[in-house]
Amino acid sequence: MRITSKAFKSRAREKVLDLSARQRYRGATQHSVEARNRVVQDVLNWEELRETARILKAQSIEQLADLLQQLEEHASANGIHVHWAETDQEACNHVIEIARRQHASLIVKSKSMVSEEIFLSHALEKEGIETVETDLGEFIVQLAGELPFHITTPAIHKSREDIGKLFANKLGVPYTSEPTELTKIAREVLREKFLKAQIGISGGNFAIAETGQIVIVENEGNARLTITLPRIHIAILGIEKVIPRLEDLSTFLAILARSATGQRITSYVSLIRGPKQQGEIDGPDEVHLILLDNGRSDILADRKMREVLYCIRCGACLNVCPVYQVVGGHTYGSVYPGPIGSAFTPLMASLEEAKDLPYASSLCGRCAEICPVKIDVHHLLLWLRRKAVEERLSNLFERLIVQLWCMIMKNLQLYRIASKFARVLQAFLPKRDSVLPVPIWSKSRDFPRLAPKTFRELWREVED
Amino acid sequence: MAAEARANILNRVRRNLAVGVFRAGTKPASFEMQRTADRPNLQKPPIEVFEEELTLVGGTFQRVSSQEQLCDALRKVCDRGGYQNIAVSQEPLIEELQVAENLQRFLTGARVSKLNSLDPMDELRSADAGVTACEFLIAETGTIVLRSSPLVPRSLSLLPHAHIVIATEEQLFPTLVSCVPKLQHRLVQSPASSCTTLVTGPSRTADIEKVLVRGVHGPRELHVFVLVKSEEPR
Repeated sequence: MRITSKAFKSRAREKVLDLSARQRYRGATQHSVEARNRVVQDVLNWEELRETARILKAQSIEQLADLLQQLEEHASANGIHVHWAETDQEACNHVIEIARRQHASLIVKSKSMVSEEIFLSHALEKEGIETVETDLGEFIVQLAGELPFHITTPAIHKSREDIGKLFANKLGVPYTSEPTELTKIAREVLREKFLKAQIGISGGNFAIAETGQIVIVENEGNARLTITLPRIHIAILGIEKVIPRLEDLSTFLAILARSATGQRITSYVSLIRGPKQQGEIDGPDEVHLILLDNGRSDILADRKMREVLYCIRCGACLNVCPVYQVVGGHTYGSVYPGPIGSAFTPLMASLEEAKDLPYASSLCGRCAEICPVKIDVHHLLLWLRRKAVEERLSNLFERLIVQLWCMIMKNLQLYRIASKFARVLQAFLPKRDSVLPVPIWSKSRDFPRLAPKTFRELWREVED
Repeated sequence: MAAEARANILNRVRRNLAVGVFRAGTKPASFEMQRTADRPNLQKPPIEVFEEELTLVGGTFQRVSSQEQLCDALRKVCDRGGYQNIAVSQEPLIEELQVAENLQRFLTGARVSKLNSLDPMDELRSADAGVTACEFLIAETGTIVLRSSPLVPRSLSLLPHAHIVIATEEQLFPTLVSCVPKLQHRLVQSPASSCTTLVTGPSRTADIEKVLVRGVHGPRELHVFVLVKSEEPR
């Protein structure tokens, strides 16, 4: 996974100053949260539903190896070709191999985070194969040459005017900023591509071990077209997407649509059983399922972090995150932005490369509160901070300050002397400054003045 | 190399899982979603719930009690939409009701196809309305369950501008959960199907400034007609 999270701080510093962008992000995320809250309200036992979903995911992960084998067996029996990929490169190679065999020149893609993760479009372009994103948001982002801004609504950072200009520029259509018109333009451009493409590539929200089905959840119908019209369909799924039974799906559908878009169910849920059956008029001749590891199996070794693999990619934690709302999706420098991305990215890349991400959180816990599968996101971030310190990824100055602070806090005498000292010192500063100029710290945070009297002193006065 | 990747992944998963569980839990024996009376109001008869939910997501619903009523309603929908090329599936219910024949009779100038020509894909590409039956209806969400088969291609409910569904009241289930056993049964019993699709309303997006737009890649219109047994003859 190519990530540029090292620049998180500098990018965030810039973003914080862009007030109009902040307003847009805030509006969009709030809109999503309100829609989600409305539909969650009419489930009286929502907490029970979350708990059920969490346990189902936990159980799936605990028996992952067995479920993957079951999935492979049943999918193969249905006529699906199952491939395994240890790394992003291997997954891309599988796709390229299939594409070469078919002499494919045009590939349509429906929205898939995993394909972003492995930079598939890039790999295919190097092969000289045109690859077109067909989800409206992804299409916009692809035209602009950017990464998705959000897991479920990738182009939410762009205004309708931005998109109008982009379409006029890149597609040579007359300028319009009307969402209905823009959507129509995209429909026409992409319909052509659908009809011509030799291969359709999709992700998948779930794979059912018991039946060998691949499940795709969407609203636009582009995934349905992707898996129906081209002669070959390739689905790429992270290994954590497997669930045991078909009956478990109703729980996940209920919880995913509500959390992601505030719908009770999405417009379309496709359950792919296999290639075109005898007598059928349409559907692909070949269906390939690529099961991607790319670091996921290593995450399992950390019992605490393991639960990041429960994530169903609804994007709800992004919408409620006070940090995401200010800095937006691109600042994280990862395909997976927001709180869950900050927990996932350091594990996928390395903690060193993404060491700022666990700190991109106020630890307020709204992410954990809204997570439909109850991932304890902010505690996982805290855990990663701890690991970062243990691996000595923090800078020397910070380590010294913290050590000094620990020393003082552990010793009552020392604490009293130090606080007295600080109080005396602050008296020399101009009275109008309500915060203290502590180096580095107060560049982006307040360090409030110490109160003139300590609590103990006040207490004594009251007693007297 | 391929076999190696498989073995490596499975081994790694097994080995890393063996370090133990951090926080386990057991699934409650049975879980049932409990909902407020507002939406969906499951106290009402399922057919009314279905109508309400489907209408709210942008579909239209009509109850019909006879073949004549159905024809009349179909004709009106097709007239209003100005559909010139109508493709019709060959599913038993549609055949039995002679939908294609009736449409052809009542719609002057329109082309009605049963997709039995040499190039059915070509007809599908040019169709502006597709008529199909369905497997089940799910009341709680206003959902239609479609299963592809030699009699009904997947594109028929996907490529045209409008998707028209004809169903009977017996196909209605109150919730998705109650429908799953049937779904599973069909999967095993009649395997000549590459894809099952749950359809809830027309195709939609909110990718541009969160503004809801209907009819992105799939049909912009979804019309559902449900045949009910009428008590009094019309």
